[in-house]
Amino acid sequence: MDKKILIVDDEPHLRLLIARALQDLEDEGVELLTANDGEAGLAMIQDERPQLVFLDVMMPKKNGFEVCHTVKYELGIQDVCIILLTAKGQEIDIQHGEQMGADLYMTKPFDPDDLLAKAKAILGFE
Amino acid sequence: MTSTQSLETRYQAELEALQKRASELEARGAEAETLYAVTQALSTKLSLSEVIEVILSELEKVVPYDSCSVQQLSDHDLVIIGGRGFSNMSEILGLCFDPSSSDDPSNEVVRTRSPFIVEDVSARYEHFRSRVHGKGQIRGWMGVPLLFENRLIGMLALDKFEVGFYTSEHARLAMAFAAQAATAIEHARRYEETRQAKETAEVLRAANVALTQSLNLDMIFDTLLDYLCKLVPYDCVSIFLIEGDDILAARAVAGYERWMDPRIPLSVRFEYRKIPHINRVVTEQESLIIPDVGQFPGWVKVPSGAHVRNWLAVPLVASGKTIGLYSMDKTIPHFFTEEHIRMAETLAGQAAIAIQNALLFESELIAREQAEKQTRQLTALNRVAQAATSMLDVKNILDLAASEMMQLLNARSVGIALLNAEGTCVQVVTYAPINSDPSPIGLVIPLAGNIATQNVIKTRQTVVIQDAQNTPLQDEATRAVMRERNTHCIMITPLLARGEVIGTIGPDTDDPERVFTAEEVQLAETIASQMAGAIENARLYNQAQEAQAFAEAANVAKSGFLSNVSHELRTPLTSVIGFAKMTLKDLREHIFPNVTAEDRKVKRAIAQADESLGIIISEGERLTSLINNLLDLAKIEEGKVEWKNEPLRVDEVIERATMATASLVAQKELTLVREIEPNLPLLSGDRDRLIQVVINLISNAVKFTSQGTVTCRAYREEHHIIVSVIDSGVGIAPEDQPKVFEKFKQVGDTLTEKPQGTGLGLPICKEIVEHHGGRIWVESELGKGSVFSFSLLVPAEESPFQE
Repeated sequence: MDKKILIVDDEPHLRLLIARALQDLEDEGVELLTANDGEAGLAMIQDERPQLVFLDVMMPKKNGFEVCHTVKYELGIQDVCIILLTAKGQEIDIQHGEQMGADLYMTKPFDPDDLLAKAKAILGFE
Repeated sequence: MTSTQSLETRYQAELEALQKRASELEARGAEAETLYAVTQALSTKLSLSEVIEVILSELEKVVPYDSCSVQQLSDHDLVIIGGRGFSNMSEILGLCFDPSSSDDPSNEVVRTRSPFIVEDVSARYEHFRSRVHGKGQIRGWMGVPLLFENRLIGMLALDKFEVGFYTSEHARLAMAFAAQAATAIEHARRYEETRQAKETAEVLRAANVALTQSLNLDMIFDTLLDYLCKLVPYDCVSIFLIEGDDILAARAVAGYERWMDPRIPLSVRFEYRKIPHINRVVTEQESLIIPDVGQFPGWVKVPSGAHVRNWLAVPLVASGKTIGLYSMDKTIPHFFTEEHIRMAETLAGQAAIAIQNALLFESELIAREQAEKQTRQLTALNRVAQAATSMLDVKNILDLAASEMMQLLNARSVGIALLNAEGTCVQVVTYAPINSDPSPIGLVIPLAGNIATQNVIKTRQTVVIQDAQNTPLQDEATRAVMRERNTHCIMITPLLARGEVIGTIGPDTDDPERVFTAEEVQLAETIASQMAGAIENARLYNQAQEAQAFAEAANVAKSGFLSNVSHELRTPLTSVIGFAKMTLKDLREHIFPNVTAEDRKVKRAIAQADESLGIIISEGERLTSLINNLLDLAKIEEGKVEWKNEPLRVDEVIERATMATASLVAQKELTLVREIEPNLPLLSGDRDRLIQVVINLISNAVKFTSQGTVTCRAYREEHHIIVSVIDSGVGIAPEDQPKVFEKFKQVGDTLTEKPQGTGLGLPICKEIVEHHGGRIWVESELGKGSVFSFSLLVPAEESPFQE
């Protein structure tokens, strides 16, 4: 089965950074997909059914919380792990993210090694 | 035959005698009949003038005369009270003469109380010769006394143009007649007296009733004048009241219309002490008659008294005090009598009491009205003052002040206008009555031309314009507005705030008679000053509120700004740190090992690239921590932080903090010593945040210490647990110590010394500790080190640590 990771962020440098951080997995045959806003991200989740999504919170058109909520509760897609990347890093946002159905969260700035380690664990690469 | 003759003669004589007796009896019968008729007539007549009329006409039937006078004895004088046959009747009536002192036949009648007959009075008495009575010279004269109950009450004087006319027979008949006449005259006189007395009493009683029925001074004066003219027939009368100490002021007059405008005598005021005879009436409380002012040396000629000949003044005395007087006059000298004085005095006594009551009532009324007015004013002022201190909305204060002022001053309307910043015009902001249509609110009035308002602003003094429609104090345009609005009097009072005119308040009237008084000006100024204070208060309050709202908005903006900025900063920081880390990793894993060049420069470049990337990463992380602190502090201040309240152990908190700071301590080759008192009680609070506090304190200690140890100590002191972090660093000067917990205030000169840390660590610690009900403080000595401590409260129900 094809492994897919979706990166949703409106900042091109951050998409590049996350993609670079996940380069090892790409080498392992995991497909890296990117989307630059919430709506595009949501469409891609439906179309491509990635196993893992790195989802930025503050984005144009549809924010991360909304995308997360739609995926988990409205579309009922459960076989996807969503990691929220929040710049705020405050508890209230984390709680909110959890309520919205996020599986994990990471605060910016994140450690690329940490990000890679988490992705590997989730996708079963050890 | 002789006997027959003599018998005949005798019969004849007897017959004659009988006939004579019969005629005599007849005459006596007629006489008696006349006397009876007189008695009848006299007894049915009761008025003196009618009685005299009957006496004179009936007397003529018994005793003939050409002229006859009825004279009444009054004291020692004889006064002619009636007559007939005289051509100068009007002159004779009331004529009075002293019979004893004159060469007069009456003297004999009065002296002897018997009839007295004179053959020819003109020959015997000098003054009779010069007198012309009726149609001819009086010659025969007879005087008959009028005796009532043996008392002489007067006499009848009968005149005849014939010498020696009257006989003793006449005298006898006249005496019989006079007896009846005297009785009739006396009865009539007594009746008249009684009637007059009764009438007077009736008038006085009615006057008393009328006078006591009113407490209105003008009505009392009217009543007094009404009744006075019934008792004393005057030409003019003036009622004076005393004002103050020595002024007599006319308060009511009557009868002057014949000579002048009654307003002239009504305006008379004078100092009575300067006129001796009037002063006497007032001070001696005695009535005074001046029989003929022409003969009176002290008479003061005044325009209203030009017609006066006879003058009478009666004091008005109430409760022993003279409150005024009334004076009456006659164009005829010697008119007023003692009887007039008596009447006038009786009435004066009653009138004085009524006047005094009215004056008291009036003064009480005035006092009460004054008191009521004052109460109303004070209440209104109080309302304005209360509003001024409690209401902070300027519009409401102005509305209230305008409506209160309208009521207090009984004004038609009250407008309040505020001066614009340039001082060129005023704008109406409030107008009473409210809901006026059209409303002048918003109306802009240029000051150019409006000289009155300009003056008010310049002098800061109130102006009252009486004739607003024609006043030269305003330009024609303003006057036209006044005419249009039918404004007659307008007051312009300045509204002063801190000595500056900020506007005007203007009550006006549409009543031409109404002019604002000095008292009302003062009232308006009082309200204006309270209002100005209120406006100022409201302005300051609004400023303060605006400032607070601004500060609050700024704070919200700041928090929002901080959240946004932190987000915006983190995104590039994420890239910077992320790419730096990956690059360093790539270099270390894939590039450096493959660089085989032994070139010294290449080796140095590799070492420097490694170091530089390390610096980029650590500085990036420092920046991240600064952003985190900023955000933390902002959230705490906003109250947006959700605090946990969980059981916690102080040793655990210190353990976690020392672990987190271990690498820092190791980097500076310092030693961290932990001194924790055993068996400390369990506390409750937000563990993570308290760990943050200890981390901050240790970080600081490490930062400012170059060698030696940093000690973290925890111990109990009564109800508190004290946690201290002790360093042996540079220390803090005493004057700087209070500043260390202030935001963005790092101790020392920030221009020369590189600031270390964010300057937010200690303020965050302070917020966290204080949230737990504790206290944070510093003890330090420059060059010897610092002790930062905080206290935490031990819960009331303490429980020991569960190991």
